[in-house]
Amino acid sequence: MLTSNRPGGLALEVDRITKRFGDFTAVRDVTFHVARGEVCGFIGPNGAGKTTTMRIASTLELPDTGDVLIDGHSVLEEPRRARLRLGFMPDAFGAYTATTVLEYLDFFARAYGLRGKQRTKTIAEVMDFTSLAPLADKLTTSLSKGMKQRMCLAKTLLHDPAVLILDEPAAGLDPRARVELRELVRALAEMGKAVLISSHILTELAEVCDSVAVIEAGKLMAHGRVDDVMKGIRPTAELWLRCLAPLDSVERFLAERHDVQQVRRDGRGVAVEFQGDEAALAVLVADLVRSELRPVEFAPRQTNLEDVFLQLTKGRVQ
Amino acid sequence: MTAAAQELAERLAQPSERWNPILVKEVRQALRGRSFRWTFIATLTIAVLGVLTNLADFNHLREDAHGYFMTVHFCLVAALVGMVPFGAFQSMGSEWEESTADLLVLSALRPRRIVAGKLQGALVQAVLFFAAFSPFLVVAYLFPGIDLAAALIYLGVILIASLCASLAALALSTLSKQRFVRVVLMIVLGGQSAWLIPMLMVLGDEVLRHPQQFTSDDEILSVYATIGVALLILAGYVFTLACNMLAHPEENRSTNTRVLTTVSALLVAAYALLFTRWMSLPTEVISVMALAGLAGLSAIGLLLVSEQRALGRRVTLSVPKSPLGALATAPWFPGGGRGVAFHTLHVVLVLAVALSAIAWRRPSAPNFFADGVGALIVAALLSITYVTLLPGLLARLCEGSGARLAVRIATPIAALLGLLVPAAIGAFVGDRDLARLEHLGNPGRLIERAWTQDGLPLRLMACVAGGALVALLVNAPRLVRSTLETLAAARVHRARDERAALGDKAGQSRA
Repeated sequence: MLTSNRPGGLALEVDRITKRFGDFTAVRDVTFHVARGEVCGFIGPNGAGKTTTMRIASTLELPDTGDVLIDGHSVLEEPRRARLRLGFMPDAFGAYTATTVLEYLDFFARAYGLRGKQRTKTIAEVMDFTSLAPLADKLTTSLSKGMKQRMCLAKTLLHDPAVLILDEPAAGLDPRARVELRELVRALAEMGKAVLISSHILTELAEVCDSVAVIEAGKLMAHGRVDDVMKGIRPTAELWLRCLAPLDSVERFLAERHDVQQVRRDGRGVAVEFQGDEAALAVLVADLVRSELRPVEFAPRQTNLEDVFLQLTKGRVQ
Repeated sequence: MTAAAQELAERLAQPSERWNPILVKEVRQALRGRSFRWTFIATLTIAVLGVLTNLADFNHLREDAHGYFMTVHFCLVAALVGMVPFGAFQSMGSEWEESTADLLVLSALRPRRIVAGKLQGALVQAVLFFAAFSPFLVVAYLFPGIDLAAALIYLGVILIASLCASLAALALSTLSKQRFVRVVLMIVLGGQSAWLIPMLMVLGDEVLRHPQQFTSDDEILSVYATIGVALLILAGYVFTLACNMLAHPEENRSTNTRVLTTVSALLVAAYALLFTRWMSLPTEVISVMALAGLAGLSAIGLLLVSEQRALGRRVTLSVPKSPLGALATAPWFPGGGRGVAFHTLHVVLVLAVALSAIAWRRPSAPNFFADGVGALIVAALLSITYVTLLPGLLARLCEGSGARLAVRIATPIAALLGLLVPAAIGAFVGDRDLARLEHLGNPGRLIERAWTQDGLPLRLMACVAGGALVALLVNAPRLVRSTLETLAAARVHRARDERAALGDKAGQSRA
């Protein structure tokens, strides 16, 4: 049965884990945490160590040093207890042949020790939650990629885990399926589950994540609330401005201001690095209007996860 | 809950609650899958055609139904030891191919339940074949020339053979995930079936032609019993192998093999005692069985003494907290050094049990030579030398999996070289004794000479004992290190529990 966990408190604590494969260090001294009810995006280039970290957190790999606590249970010392509080959806997962969706879920419910009415009720609820009920009698091999992802998510939820680790769940999904997956993830977070989700589709993550952990070459580059990380990497705001006056005079006007860090031409307008709070920004707008530059477009540019990713990572592979 | 969900819940209420989930899944998949259905139909079709051919010569059939029975049984044997094990092999392999292995590991199912479930699935398939063939079998008993008791024994043997073949197939299937290796393993499985099918057919023929022999002859029954015990132990090892291969690499994959070896040694000892008493056999038989036991123990021992040194982080916390408990159980924990202790301990155990059994079975004092006692002692010393010397010298290499495999292969090769190189030198320099393998590097000859009335010359006996002593001295640093590591693990376990207790107290006082 899917229960609502009380928000607050840490559900997933990754504590200074390092993992080597021979001479190759896949993960080095990585530390971060995810609270109940929080969705944490785990981003990094290919080969950065995301999957290794997730597999360590899922008890499938053992760190050389460090530990991971799943709802308070160490993956080193109490792997079986940790597994019961954990739902892991790997990037490549299987669907048994000659098995219907209902039978697939029934098998895993049994495998998690659910019995009798509790099992049937849980399967029904999970299918309801993931909208799989109409597909109950479909063979798993005949499902689309999106439906398979839903089925695996449903399987992951059967034992009502406190922590969900989803490795590239949106890979290969069409836009509609991605939106649906996003809604499911948000709903799970609202139930109080801690969700660690990795994806290359950063725009998707930006809409669903409360926090973000950026990893490159096995090292954690940043971790925190999305807004905090964005502010951390770019304390200035970027604005875009188009005026009817020649660009030269616009550039001259802006370059003379102390709160403008940098001005550069960008298409038909100029991009401005502005350092100041919203009051200073209002003054700038007023000054522009009073000037003879005749502004027609003025837009602050939002820093997004893509910017964070590009800023923090250099595309280094190990 | 919506109406659809309610309906689903009702449909799922089935009377299979306590069954192994793997069994439920396997049966569902088999019954819906194409491969089982087609092989089932094809086997039955061939059986029907064979039966019709036999029925064409009805006059002969009325006199002797032997040919009819064997035709039906050929199809049944082919299905049970050919197709059912192949299905088990494929079923285990599909867990890797369909990427469901990780999902299984994360569930509450332990490897032994997974293997047991797969084996039960194979058993259900075998029973389905039996059920389908039962009308043909019943018809066979209506004709003359078939002894019911013998036929039932034979059918039982087929079913056991099917189970053993399926277990072997499951273990083979867990050995590798690589496609090329799996093809090789499949060929090995095919070889197993190609050997088992004619063997069972010959056995069936013998059973039906001489039923009395197989139902009341004590010697034949004792052979059944011995094969049964050997199969039970072998099945235990194969099952453990399959479980170990399925278990996570970080889990303890050695203790179950060690415990099984101890249990097997005790089982064989008990069986040897009962067997020699029941059959009133001479005490030499105990020595022969102990020698066979030492040979088996050496094979297992080689795997254990070449394990990597350190206890895993997860295994550390399963070491008993008390130093005494940790020391007492140390030989059963993973690690090459502890493997040396385990092997030496079990060699001594086999020797002690065999000597006690010989002493118990003989009213007079045992004859050191005639009872094979000297041979047993020589074999025990040789076992320690051969199994522990080279892995002890190459202990550092045993840390990597590839090098560990190389050490395991190099040990019997070194023994073979020790046998053949002196013989080659003897042939070269014209030393006839060496050329005829009459030298220290021939363990078989040493044991043979120790069994004779004259026994092994003292000089050679000293060499054999010296070899074992050198092997143990070479391994002494490993033994010390592993003992210290076990004690340290006990301390870590204690400290963790104390920390947890302090944490609980602090939590209570805060509350």
